Amino acid sequence: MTSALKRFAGRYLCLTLLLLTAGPALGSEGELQPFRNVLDPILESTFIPGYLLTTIEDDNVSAEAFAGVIRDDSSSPPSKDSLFAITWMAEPLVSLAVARLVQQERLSLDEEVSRFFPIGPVALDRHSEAGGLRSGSTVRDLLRHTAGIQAKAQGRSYNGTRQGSTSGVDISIERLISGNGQIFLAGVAEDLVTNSFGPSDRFLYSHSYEVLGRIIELRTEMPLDRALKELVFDPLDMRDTVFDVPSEKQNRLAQLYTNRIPTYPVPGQFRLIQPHPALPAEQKNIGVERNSWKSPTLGLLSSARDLEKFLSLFLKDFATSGGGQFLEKEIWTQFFLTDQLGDSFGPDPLVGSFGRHGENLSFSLASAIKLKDDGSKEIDYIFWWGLANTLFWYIPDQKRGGIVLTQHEPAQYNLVEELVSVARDL
Amino acid sequence: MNKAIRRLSLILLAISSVSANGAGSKEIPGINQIPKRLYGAGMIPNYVIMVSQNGETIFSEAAGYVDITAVREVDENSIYAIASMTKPIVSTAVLQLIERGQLGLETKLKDIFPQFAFMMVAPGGDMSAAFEPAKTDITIRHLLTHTAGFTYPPAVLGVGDVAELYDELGMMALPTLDEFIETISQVPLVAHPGESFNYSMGVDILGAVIEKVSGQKLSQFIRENITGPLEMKDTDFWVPEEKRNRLVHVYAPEDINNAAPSSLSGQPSWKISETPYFGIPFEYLGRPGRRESGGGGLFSSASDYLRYASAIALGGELGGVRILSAETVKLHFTNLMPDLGLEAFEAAFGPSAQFMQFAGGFGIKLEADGSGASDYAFWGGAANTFFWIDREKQIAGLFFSHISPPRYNVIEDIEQAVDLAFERK
Repeated sequence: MTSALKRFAGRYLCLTLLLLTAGPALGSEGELQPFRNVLDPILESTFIPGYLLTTIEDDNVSAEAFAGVIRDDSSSPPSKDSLFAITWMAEPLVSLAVARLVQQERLSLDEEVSRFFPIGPVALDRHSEAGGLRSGSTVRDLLRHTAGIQAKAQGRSYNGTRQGSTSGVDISIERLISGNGQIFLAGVAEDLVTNSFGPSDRFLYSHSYEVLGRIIELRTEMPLDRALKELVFDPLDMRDTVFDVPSEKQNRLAQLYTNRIPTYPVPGQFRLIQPHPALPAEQKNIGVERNSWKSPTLGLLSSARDLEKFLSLFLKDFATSGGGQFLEKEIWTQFFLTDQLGDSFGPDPLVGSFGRHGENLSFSLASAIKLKDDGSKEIDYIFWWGLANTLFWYIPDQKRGGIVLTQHEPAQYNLVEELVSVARDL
Repeated sequence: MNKAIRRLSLILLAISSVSANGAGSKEIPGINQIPKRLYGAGMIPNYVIMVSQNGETIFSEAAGYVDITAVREVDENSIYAIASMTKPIVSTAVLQLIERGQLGLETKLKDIFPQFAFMMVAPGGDMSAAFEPAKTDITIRHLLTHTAGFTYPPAVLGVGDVAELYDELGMMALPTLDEFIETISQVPLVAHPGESFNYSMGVDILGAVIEKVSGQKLSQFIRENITGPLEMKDTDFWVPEEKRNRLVHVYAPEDINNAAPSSLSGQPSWKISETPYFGIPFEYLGRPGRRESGGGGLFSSASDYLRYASAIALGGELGGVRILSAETVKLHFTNLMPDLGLEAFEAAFGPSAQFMQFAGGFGIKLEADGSGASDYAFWGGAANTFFWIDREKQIAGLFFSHISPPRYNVIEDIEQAVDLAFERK
């Protein structure tokens, strides 16, 4: 055998070993392969540690795939009970809680935000002097990111720096680990008072769901973790969606990774991820050390099994598995399946926050909406993702949904369009 | 130009954006397979592949753009930041001084710069442990082989607290070689000289050594002795104004804070966005005034660098111009620290560096059969530029793109394709 052929044989062997790390799967190979064609190149290039894909149709799980590893100290792929930091992907869950309060007439979408913070815990002295928070921003504005809060850099950038907007406060794993929620919320409140954009002027992806978390606490008179449990997680039987992971479940934590950026001058493929440096050594993810700041946009962990229950709501017109009605149709349609931006915020309102990834998108009161390309303004699909590359989608006209979970910050792999395209064609 | 015509011209430009050198081009199946896929997926902004044998270009292909937001294509004369691919050229310059008797492998650094006479060592780069006086003096051999005990900042595989200290002291950006020498000589080594491989700024120190010994600026010495004789017209520590339209922008994978630009018609769907290069925005990249870094400061084109690599592959001579004797060139391919063993290199670069070692300025890939036979020499740069030299076949080749930090070192695959093409012959 020539030296070149020997090397080829060696590479083939390596590839074979890599593919052996794929876990058991549900769904035919013909169904799964197109999904794998989207996800495997990223895994094989070691840009992510592993992934879990699950799709739902007609209230049944129709396909599942597991690949890679869940942690450095494991050779197993993630499972449906693995616990992932879902970060911003929790925003639709927060929205569900708000929707429940609206349905119970304990909260109105048109209530002004300033009503909750006249001299409240997030207001600084200067806010009081300024007459409290900016008037006019409503709960609806917070839900659709039109409250006028400054858009911020979201977590790490690929090259380790924070790019984009540098004004005001940012939100990051580092801040969650070491930060103080009270100070953070004060910063957000300061934005509401001092920013140059009026409410409802434009879509600015921001920390408004942090403010919503506090509003939920004020209105329910419960800490946020308890309020979300009572309003959302218990009714949906989502047992693993928590801020603080009990010690007996910590062995199910997926390890949180980030990019590894040292330069390599030698040929070959190197591992391009590393355990997240913001976490203490040996700590696999957030949620281990009890954190007094229950950050609704950063602090929640969940499992695929739990998130399937959330996604199932759409397939069952928001009826719960116990037969009850979680939300009335008018409410859930308004919150999840109605374009809340329309033409009032200019063309492609999400482009300002997400660049080209915001093209042809709009926003409901909970998540992004992809509009059909035919100009009809009809919804093609809805989706949302998280700081650590977790995402879900739902296609209303086919009643199909899907979830992909991995754990790698920064949010870098926007694969939703490709995945939805595959899901549509199944 | 109306919109329709502009659109058509963009499409035509995009279609023609993969250009191969037709005349005399050797058929090398699969040589562009991975670069083409990466480019097609929008994961790299461009690529240039060139291969030479016996000093003649036998393959050349370029695709993509100098700036992905503009329709300006790369070619073999596009100018890239070659970063650590500066090191081999500076090592050649050192070998030239050795050949002339102005330096020796055992010349002590302290005899050139007394600041290095009393070095302390923080083993493993651990600043909390007790420092130890260096057991031996640092020599040119140590500097050529990254065994002097220096390191880099963390972003370039630096070791321990000392690497952090390099960062804090701004070691990479100190404006003059004098300041750099003064500063680095006051920081502990991470290992005793000669005891382990630590990828380092030792070649920056060699740049200062060249200046001191030759009495010339580093750039002047290189120009007079290497790039000038080899007619490498686009290789220097800065890019003149009239050439800036050929300077390739630097990219990184996109992320939520730095989304890729929308693709122009016919372009790949970009997954990358422009990024500052080691903190330097494009506007300031390649401007004069920075320290002439022997470890990473050069800019060059694929065609230029191929001439350099070809000269080394041919034993120090290209087109009748000799830059090193055939005897001295061998130092580039000789393991100058044989006692360290193969594990030294692997310890620095990880499992993928198995069957590799370091010679006088180049990495050496060994055959994986454990025979110890050399396969090819190589090195690469932090903005995803790589080259290799197969001395036996007198082949040199390179793959240039501009992603920082580098993600796609595919010369193993390209070299393999070339190997297979020659074995089929």
